[in-house]
Amino acid sequence: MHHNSFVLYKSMNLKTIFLLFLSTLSSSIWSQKIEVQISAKKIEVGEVLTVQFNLTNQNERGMIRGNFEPFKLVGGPGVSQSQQTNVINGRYSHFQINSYTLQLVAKKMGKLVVPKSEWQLADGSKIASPPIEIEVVKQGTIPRPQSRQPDPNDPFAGFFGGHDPFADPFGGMPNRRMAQQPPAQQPQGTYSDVSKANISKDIFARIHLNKTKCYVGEQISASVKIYTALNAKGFEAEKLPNFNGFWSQEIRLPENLEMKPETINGRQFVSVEIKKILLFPTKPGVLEISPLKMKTVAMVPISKPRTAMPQPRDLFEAIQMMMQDNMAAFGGVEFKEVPFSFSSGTERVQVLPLPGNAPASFSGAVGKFNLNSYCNKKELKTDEALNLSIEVQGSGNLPLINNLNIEWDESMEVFDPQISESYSNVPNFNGTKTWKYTTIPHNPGNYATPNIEFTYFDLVLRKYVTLKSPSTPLKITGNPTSKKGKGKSFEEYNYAKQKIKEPKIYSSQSRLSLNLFWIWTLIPIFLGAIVAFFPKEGIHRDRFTSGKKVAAKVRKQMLQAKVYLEENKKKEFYNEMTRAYWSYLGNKLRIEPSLLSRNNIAEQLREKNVLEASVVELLSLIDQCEMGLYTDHGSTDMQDLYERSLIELSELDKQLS
Amino acid sequence: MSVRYRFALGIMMALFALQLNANVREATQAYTAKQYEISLDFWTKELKKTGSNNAQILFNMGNCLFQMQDYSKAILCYEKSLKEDFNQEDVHFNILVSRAKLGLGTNNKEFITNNFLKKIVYCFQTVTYQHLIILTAWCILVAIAIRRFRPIQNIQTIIYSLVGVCILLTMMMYGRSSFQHEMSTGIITNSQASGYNTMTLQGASKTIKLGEKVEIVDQVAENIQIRTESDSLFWIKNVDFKLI
Repeated sequence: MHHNSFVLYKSMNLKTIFLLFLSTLSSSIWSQKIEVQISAKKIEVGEVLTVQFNLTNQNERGMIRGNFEPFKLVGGPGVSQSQQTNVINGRYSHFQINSYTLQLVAKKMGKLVVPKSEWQLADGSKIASPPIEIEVVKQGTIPRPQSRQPDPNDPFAGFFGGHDPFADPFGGMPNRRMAQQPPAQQPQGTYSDVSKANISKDIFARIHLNKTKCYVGEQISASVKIYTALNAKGFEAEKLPNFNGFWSQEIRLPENLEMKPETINGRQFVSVEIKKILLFPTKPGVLEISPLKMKTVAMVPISKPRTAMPQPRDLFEAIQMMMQDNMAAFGGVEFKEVPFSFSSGTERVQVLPLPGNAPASFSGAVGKFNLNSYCNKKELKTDEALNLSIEVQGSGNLPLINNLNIEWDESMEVFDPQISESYSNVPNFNGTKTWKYTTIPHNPGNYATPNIEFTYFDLVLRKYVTLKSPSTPLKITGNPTSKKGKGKSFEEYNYAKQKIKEPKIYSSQSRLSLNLFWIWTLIPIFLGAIVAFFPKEGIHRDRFTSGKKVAAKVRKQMLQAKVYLEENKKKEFYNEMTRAYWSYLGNKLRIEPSLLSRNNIAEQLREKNVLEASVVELLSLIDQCEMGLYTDHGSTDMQDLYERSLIELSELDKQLS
Repeated sequence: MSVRYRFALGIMMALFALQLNANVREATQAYTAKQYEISLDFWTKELKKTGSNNAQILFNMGNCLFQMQDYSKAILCYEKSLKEDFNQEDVHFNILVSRAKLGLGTNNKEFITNNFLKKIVYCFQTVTYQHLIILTAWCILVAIAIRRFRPIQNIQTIIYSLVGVCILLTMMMYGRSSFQHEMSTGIITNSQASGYNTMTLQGASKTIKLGEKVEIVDQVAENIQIRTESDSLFWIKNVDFKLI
């Protein structure tokens, strides 16, 4: 893809574009599903790369936003729509092209791949673009040549940004140029000067209505046509007609738009029908259809003196002259490109209200219809489903009819009808709409399906016509059952017949202001944080005696033990000794009383590098004290134990200090 | 305080309460007398007051509009009421009745999120959420204090659980708030609303059904792109629909 081949359509939020190429173009570039156009294959870091995806006749719902790594999306996706009609050797083809434009900037250098983009199609499937390889180079490495001035005589300059996709001078060019010439029947007149040209008589648009006076709901056929007696490069719609006050149904035109020669006021024109719409007025009064506004570049024939051109010396020079776009010189006519805007004019439709004497069964149908109804059973049991299908068939505003006024027996439980419809535009707009009612009888007995009446306004007879379908007798057997039983879902209930629920007695609602809420919430959170982060050491220090106080405390306990020893109070002595040991070790080693144990102490003392002999001696003394406390054993060694304890504790205190 | 002053204060408070509920009283009386427009006016006045029960007022307004056979606006009020309090079965029912009256399907379409999530986050009123969060925060404080000064078994687990509950309640409260302030759906309130394929509202158009719930997809100036219940995209004028 070439640098200049990017076509920048107007973005969708400005104008929807119609392009009618009344010139020969190669259709091969449009035959693909997704056409990708890029501004350059080689870009610099930081340079904006424009990527355009053209989806032809895809009827996609939208682009799925993806990741554009290693590129950064700096613009888009801009969406524009265009319709194209190509004329190739007298055959016309029509395309709907949706263009998605992205502006990407490369983040790094190297050969990078623009990731594929995806679109969701109407049928639920997806379509993806092919990955595009781009070479990204350092800034300032790509030379910037002077951009080529577009050839003012190139009719494709506007559409291809100056680049001619058919640049082969001996290839398609002469043929294409020949195709640019006016049809055989035109021009009927040339102008001496562009300023004197009255193009509005040569190119114009019209909205044709098959009637301008009708009833509400009556079908009107609108046809939007373009007429031209001149050659023109392309047609762009600036504003499409607005059908406010109408329900509209667009008729799909064939892909190859038909071009017809037409004579208007004795002058030959070529006409193209670009849109065909069926309109159904929804309200009475004078309804306006705003004009279609279009623009084009007209090829205005200007008379030119023959003397200006030399005769070609040989065939080669003649071909060269043809290529230089001087074909007109042979006939003395030169074609000047003149941009030209034109509009179709406002159309008015007088919509008459329907007569006021409408029967109750009239629900807005206008046209000509037939009524049929089918019932699937005549005999059934209670709680068994009965289906009644009502089919309205004919031509008219059937899509606008939603409700049938049918009164069912009170004892029947009726669900919302399932509506199915199908329409055709051939030969006129007609179709069938079916309401399928499901009902469940709850009481046995002899019943009948309701009398079905369908009233429409007949446009030929100019009066209301009521169609009737006879009721079918029903024999219901079985036991009575209650409504809404058998676990039927809430949604299946026939709501239209229900009364609305009333609210309870009004009660005002108190609200806490947001500030108050935050104050009351944040206070405990702050307090909690303060408490949680309150220093632990402070509390623990109070619980353990430290320094000299430990020795003093133990000394006091040992003195008390000595008193007991002298009084020969064995139990009290051992108790005091045990307390002295545990108290000393607990405070010195800062161990919670509940966690004190022989193993724990030995481990902690060894960690503090206390001599093994001292540890063993201490454990032995603790064992002896506990043994003396709980048994009679060792009563004679109390003096010895006391003295050994004094030595051991003083030794331990030295080592731990 | 003397008996006389107490009596005077009582009278003043009663008068104040009467004044507060004057709109409600008038609205209810007008509704009973089938003067639905008058009732609607009083409910509208009450809605503007602070501390009003918006869900219930909008429910009442919806009923007034239903009785006035303005079903699309009734649906709008009911939907707004559901934004205030989703767990109102009666309002859901009334929406279905109103939709049925307009010939719309009674399988009301939900956009953005499912009903289940809404039912959960709307299980408490905002004020209840606020009170519960405050209560939980104070419980956390007490638990932290216990852990610090008088540790009991499993206190740490209790603290973690309370913090979890507090976070959950806060998320639910803000989930409810986000549903309340969501501005992405609307109701078609113009019977002549036409949907176009193009942003410029030109070309062929389709009538969008009155009362249909639509999702806003895009907006450019006065024109809005909507997704209808049948999943079709159209551009409409913003005057043709009202935001829920």
